[in-house]
Amino acid sequence: MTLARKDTPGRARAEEAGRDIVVTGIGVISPLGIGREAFWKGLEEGRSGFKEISIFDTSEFSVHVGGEVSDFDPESYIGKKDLRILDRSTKLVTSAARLATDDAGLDISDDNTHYTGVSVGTTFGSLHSIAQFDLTGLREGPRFVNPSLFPNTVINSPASQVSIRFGIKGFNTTVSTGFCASLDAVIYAADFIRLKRAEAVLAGGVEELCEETFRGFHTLGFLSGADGSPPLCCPFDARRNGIILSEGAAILILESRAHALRRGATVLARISGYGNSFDPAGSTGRGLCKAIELALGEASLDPGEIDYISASANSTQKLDRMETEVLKKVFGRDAYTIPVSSIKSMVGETFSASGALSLSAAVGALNNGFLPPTVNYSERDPGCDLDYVPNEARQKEIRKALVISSDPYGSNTAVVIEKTRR
Amino acid sequence: MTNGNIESEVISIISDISGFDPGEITPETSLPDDLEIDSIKAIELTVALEKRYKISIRDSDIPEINTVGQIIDLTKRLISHG
Amino acid sequence: MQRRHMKSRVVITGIGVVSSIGIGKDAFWNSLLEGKSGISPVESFDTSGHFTHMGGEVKLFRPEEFIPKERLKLMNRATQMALAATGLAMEDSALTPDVLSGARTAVSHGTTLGTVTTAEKVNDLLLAGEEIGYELFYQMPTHAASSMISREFGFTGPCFMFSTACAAGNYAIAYAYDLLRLGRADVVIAGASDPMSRLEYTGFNQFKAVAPEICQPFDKDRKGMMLAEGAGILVLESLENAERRGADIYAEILGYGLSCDARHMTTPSVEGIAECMRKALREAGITIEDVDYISAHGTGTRANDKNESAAIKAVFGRLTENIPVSSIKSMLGHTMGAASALEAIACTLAVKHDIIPPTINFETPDPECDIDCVPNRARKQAVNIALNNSYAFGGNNASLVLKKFTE
Repeated sequence: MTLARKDTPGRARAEEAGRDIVVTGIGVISPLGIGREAFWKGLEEGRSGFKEISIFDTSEFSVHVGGEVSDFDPESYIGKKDLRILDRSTKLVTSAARLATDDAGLDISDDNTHYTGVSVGTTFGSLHSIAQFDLTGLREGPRFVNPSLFPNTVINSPASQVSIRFGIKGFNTTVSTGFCASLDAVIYAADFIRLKRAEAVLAGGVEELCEETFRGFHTLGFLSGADGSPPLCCPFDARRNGIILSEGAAILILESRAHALRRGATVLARISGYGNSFDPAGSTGRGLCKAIELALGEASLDPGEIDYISASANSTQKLDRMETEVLKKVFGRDAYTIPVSSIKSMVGETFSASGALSLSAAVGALNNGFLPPTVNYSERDPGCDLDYVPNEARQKEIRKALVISSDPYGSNTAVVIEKTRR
Repeated sequence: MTNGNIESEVISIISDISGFDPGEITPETSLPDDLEIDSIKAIELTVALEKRYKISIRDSDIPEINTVGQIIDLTKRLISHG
Repeated sequence: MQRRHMKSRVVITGIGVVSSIGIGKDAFWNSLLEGKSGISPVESFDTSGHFTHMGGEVKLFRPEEFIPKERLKLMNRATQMALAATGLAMEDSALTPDVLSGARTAVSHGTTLGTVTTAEKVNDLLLAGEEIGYELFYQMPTHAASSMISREFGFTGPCFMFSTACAAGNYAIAYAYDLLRLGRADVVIAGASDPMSRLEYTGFNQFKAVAPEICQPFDKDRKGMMLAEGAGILVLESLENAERRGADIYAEILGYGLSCDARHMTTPSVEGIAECMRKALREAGITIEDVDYISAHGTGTRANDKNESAAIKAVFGRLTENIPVSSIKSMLGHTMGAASALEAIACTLAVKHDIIPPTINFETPDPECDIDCVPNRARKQAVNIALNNSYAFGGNNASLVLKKFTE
């Protein structure tokens, strides 16, 4: 007897509108700028976040460019205490958390700490700490490693430091699903609010730029410019030949609508639907189609009602093409008129942080009425023939946006956000 | 090296680990109470001293140490025995 | 238009184990009841520079018995153990491909060290000046184990990986419970896996937190934890699904609680872990009188066992003396993220068979750990409800409530 059942749209909900999930604040630390205003401005101006990497030695590699966050002074966000033993991932995400809580006007106190949580997507955070701790043990002997650096070697330490520094006790979770990690962390957070375990969650993602991750992507042949040509991040463009690796952190404050209203918070967007699906064959597109359908179904939207799609296209041949085909399959003829862009053209590939950054960008699109462009676009690929908002941002009223992430192992995640009245 | 050097060096190492200014650290300063040195930082301190002075601090020595002065004395003692 | 779903009951229908005391559910359970120790001298890396040399390695694991050889080279040890345990769990739950056809099967997995052993291998090659093949980088991302489970078995539902360190197993089972209750999956493969790691061995040794010979949770002379490896997988389904296909049901999951100490990265807070237990009981809709057994985090360190005992007393008050609290880490050692999955399996079998696994190596009671730790011998006793505790670095706490299944 099989377990097959008819596919049903929609899903179980704990409550009705009071449990609506809204976004009330955003904190961003990115190669395009620090703070949501600077980030949104950078996107609107179509600026590039790429520069010569300075935080580690790239001489062994044939690529020397990345999306490094510059002018970043963590002390100004999280203070001086124990800063010397914190790794970069932790500094990035705790600073983003500070910016987010400030943006939302959310103060953590004994009154709300047990109903406030943290959900962070990071897959390596920090691989640099892990590799260096091990190397020190090998080079100097295990009895001479610094024990204060040991806690940095667990992947959940960046998220945990957010709780420690801001006194957040409700729950703390780290999700490590690669390219989908931060959208998955946002989904996890939304579920917790829906299930009434939390009223507010700091949700997002972080990934730092470090030689260990760089070496990995370089060896796997992912990086643009590995052949010595100038690195180029041009999603959907015919010349695309790899990613520009990048770093960043974004934290969104998610709340139940009831909680947001009670404390008079400004609502930036509503999360109206989301979905996950795995593609056991890798990146055939089947999983991404399913994830988008689930998200639209939960949001009770027809595909044609979407105004903007924030893609995860990262200037690789396979992914950009796959996403294009998926969008055509799901949206039919509307795929040719709904603008779709990839902010990775400006921000680069931030891996686990990418979904949270794209979601933050989509919230900006909703609030400021603009479409972030896909920059560096000049050569058309006949297989990628949608409206990618080439090179220049466009003014447009956007009410409903779709954000997608796809991981080469097989995970796919989609989130729908909508403009909402307070 | 002179004892005065050892004292100021050890204080400098303690300053790095605790985050407190060397000027605020005297032999009477309590490691756990005044400098917030918990069990992990205490081990970090012993590892740093072992590396710097090529000495070996036993586990049984560690709970006895409360003040900066005691750690300086222990370090001097282990250096002269070594 | 929104569909309202009645929240399903969540049951456990399959178990798979790779551990130092047995591979497969039966071997594991029998060893637990015998009080068998899985601790032996560490062989997977050189411990001559460390303070201690013992650990809980799974020496009898033959990955090629579970995974085709040509695919093994793309999988690190955690992934290999996870896949083997999953295969065993699927078999145990009679979930054949045609039974699963059309079902939404999700994976919810946990790990502490999924990426670490691969990073160690990369370091070895870097130091030797040797070339590093792409296979190593392919298996490096933390979500390799969870993703490979979905890939190898062809699952298309959500696939999550939680890296909440030593509580990861409980986090994974907890989210699996949520996925089923939210109607987002029909079956969830839930659990965790972790390998032996020299980095981890070094770190805990530097904390002076590792026992030299044996792990003695709650004992007055306990000297610390024991590093170990393993994988534990449970098959979770909604009760309707299980009944529809006539599956054997081991136990039911009633709920769980999470909390964060928000204080210290490594020492658990009594207040934080007490709050976690209270939340679990609240969500499960039970009171302190209902708990018959607590599977402790019980690592054997001075700080954990003392603080956990104090937290249990804070929550259960005078009832504490009547609630057996045992730690199977006394036998397995600390299998990191896999620990709470293996402990959930022990709880599952405890409620199924009304037998409580012991805390072995117990010699001297500690007045600061004033609990009944089920010393040295398994105990036959009715167990209706079990509470599974786990506490991780970062103060990430999780407590899971399991119940004897009744219609």
